[in-house]
Amino acid sequence: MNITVRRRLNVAITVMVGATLVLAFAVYDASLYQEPFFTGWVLLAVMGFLALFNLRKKITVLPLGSASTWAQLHIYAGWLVILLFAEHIGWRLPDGVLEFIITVLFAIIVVSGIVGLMLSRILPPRLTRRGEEVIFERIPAFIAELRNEAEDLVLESAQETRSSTISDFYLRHLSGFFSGPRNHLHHLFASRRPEFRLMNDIDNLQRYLNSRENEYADRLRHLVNKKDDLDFYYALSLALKAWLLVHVPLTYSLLILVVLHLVVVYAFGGGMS
Amino acid sequence: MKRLLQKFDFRSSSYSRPNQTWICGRQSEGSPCRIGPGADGSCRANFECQPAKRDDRWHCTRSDLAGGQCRHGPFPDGICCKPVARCRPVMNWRARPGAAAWRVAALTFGLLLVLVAGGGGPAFINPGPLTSQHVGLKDCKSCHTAFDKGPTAWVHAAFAEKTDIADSKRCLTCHDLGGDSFRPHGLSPSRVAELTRDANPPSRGSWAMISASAAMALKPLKGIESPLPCLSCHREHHGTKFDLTAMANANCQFCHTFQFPSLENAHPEFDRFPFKRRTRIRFDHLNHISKHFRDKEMRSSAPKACKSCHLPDEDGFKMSLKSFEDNCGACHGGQVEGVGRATAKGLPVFNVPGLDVATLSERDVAIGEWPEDADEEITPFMEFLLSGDRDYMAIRKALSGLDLLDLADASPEQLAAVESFAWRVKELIFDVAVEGMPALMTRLEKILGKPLSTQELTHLSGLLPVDTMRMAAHQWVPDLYREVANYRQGSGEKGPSSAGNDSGDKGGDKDGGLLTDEKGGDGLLTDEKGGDGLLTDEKGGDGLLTDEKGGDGLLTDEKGGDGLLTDEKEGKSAKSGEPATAPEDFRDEPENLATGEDWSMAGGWYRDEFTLRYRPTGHADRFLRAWLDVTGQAAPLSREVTTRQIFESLASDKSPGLCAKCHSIDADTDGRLSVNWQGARLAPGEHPFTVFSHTSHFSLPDDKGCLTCHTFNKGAKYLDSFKDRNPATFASNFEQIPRQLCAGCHTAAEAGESCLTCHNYHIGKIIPALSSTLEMMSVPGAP
Repeated sequence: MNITVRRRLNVAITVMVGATLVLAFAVYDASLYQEPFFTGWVLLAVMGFLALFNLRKKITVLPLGSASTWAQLHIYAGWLVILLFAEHIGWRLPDGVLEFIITVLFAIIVVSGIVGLMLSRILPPRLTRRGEEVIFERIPAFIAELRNEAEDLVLESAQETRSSTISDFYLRHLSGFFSGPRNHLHHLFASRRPEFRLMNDIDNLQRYLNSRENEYADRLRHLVNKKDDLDFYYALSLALKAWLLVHVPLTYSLLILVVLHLVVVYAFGGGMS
Repeated sequence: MKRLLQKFDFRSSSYSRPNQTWICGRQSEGSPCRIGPGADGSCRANFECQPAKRDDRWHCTRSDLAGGQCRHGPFPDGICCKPVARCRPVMNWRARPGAAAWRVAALTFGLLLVLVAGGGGPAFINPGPLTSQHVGLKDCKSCHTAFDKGPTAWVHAAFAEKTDIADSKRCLTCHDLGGDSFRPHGLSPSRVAELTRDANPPSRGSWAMISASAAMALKPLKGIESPLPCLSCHREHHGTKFDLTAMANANCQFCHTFQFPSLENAHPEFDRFPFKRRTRIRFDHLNHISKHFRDKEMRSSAPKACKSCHLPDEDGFKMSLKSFEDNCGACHGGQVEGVGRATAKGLPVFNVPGLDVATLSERDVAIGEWPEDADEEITPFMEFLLSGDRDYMAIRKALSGLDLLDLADASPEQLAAVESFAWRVKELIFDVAVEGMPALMTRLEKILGKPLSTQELTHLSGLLPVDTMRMAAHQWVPDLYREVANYRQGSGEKGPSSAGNDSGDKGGDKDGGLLTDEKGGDGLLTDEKGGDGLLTDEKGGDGLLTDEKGGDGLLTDEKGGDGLLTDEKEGKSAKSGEPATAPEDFRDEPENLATGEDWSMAGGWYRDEFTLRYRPTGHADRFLRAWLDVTGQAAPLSREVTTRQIFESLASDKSPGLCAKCHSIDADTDGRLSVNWQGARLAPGEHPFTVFSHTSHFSLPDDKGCLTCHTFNKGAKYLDSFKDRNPATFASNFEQIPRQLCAGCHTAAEAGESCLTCHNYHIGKIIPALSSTLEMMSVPGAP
């Protein structure tokens, strides 16, 4: 089964489940039971399932299915939970403070999840297309290596060519560039403007260099390209990891507020037993 | 050749452990230490190697990956010569979301503890503003029983208690819905079962899928017998403008046996709307419109349109009737007052029943005086008043079947019963004549088994005047007072003799009269031994009744004129004790002297020979109404016969007042009878199942007006409905209103088709609870 067929099948299943649940809610609402209790429990069950994905990734010993399968279930259940939440709140913003905070948290989590999903679909192919894949945690080390190399090159050029042109250029245009990861947003939005600007600056510089200096300039250009690649990897990889800093912590906060909400609605809504 | 930064050979790339939370802080410089941080995030770096001692020398043990053995080697004391600078370990990116999650969770939990347990807790957990009707409830515990026990108790209340009914009872503090507040429609289970049994099935149409599914799947779980708390239907905390009473049609139909999509689609036909019983006022519309209103004599008085007789009530819902005077009085007022009536216009209330005086005299039955000419049966009213005496019913039973006017063949037991009967009658008349209303009240209260208010006594007594009663008593049995007094003392009494008839000449008792005692004993009013009597003074002083000096006295006239009680020209006087003459014996009576009946054309009491009659005062006579109500509702088993007699006599078509000609009578399940004095109307606070606002619809009919909806049922035998006293058997003058007539406008897109547009859920009398002013008595200035 290729990805397209699988995706269509999963979407169809999700839509069917959603439609069935909406119908079930409508039937429940037609009774004299209070529909928010039913939608609430279904919603809580799905949210709990979604939260279990993080736990599943940490528990690798037990045969609970592959992480990729869980990821798929997490994604489609995530789409479903939006419908469930909207049904639960009656398709309108709640009036209470607690409920409003829960809604806002939920919205942030959902948006971050959608953003994460999009990032995980868009960014990895771009990373692959760019060239060498590097381990994220080692990027600063590689940047440091390139920085050292660039500084050695500049020093060498100053000694050999007895000219400070390249070194001045480095100090003015490239020292900040090599000091750490740069141009996050440009790389996220697939913009190469900063790189082109630097290349343009080097091109402009090379007009005034002799052949010897040009050799050093070419080597420096190569280092700039490499550094830009690292910046690209860093920005995209950071994005692929950073969205979880929003998505996961807020989930726990939401779950705590949901427990309080559960206690309050049952304590003042007639009791569970 | 493209340069690759990431090397994977073991010499160039150290093993990466992403499961470890902390990584060396010098990773970013490209020179992380080999040891790495501890699990607690502390830097464990010290030296680049752990020197090993071999052959008394310390050797460097730095691995090839780290660069191999160093040039200088360890110090002689075995310490590595290459110390590693300590770093600040950095959390692994894999662990950062988890760490952030814990921190955020702890922060959230801490904030919640502060908020919920603090003063801002109620505002924080409040799910939203209340509706405008409840906005005055500032305290959560006004409605939520669990609130004032504190946050820890909320957990218990949430999971280990059931507070829905307890909370709903707080709603009843202001909303009094009767005893079965938590039952469907506020009705008892038996009533609900009855309505369910009688429910109409849906008419043809489509199936209400959602409602029917809900009922099929969930109703068995809910159990219709289980109580329904208020919050089943009323959801608060949705804002000030939220409609608390709004409900989806599907919710209404959940409990019902049948479900249907809409009024237009499969709603049961209106086969019992709007008429569920016969009319309370018997009025044949068709008969009147087709016959009576067209009569030449009646035409000018007849109504011209429906609104001539009907007008909307205060709420605009029902069409009430105007007053009798406005609607019916022009044609029927005279009938009620007895105009043109052939039989007596007054109701017989008190009388002296006829007895076979001759036989009683022969057989020496000691009943004292008894008018020979009395020939009527005892009135039902007197029977009722006598029925309080337990012995009387036995007497009555002994006399059943016996013709009291012919006692020739009566047995001694029957004659004894007649004697007792006669004395009971006399005692009754005596008591009422002497004591008046107190005596009447005592008897009535004993029979009815309840105390009477002054107003009730007023109505039941018809304000019988004292003189009317005493005059009648005197005329019927002139020596009544002495006889009854003696009878009660146990003194013997003679056999019957003719008591004073109308003329008063036939057989007065010479041994004693009302006012004197010729034998010397004290009479009621005189003292022959010389003492002052009540009314005379032998020493010459003026007395109430005589004037020896010759002036006119109240009762005598020595100059020969007629006195009130005596006629000196005929030689009869009160002093002699002979019976007084009746008003009819007054001299020089005009020939056109009105009879008592005619004199009382405006209603009231009058005497008709041996009967005191009451003539109704016109429509809505209070005396007739009071007796119909009391006797219809009272059904004491031992006196059932007497109460029914009165009721049936007053309710007959020939009874004065003709109440039952128009006011129908309903019998309830335990046999009590109610007279419908008014047409259908809603009691204050009454909520019926179905409501219809007439005024809202007045703009709709065309020239047909009311007949748009209320079409005549020409074949209906309306008057046959009233042959029994079951209000459910009826044939209306009007056809039932067809459902499609309403469904033409009441669609979802037009006038609306919510169940609540026409139906109430809460049925019965619902009166808002009044505020209790507990502090009223502590008003400043009060003692």
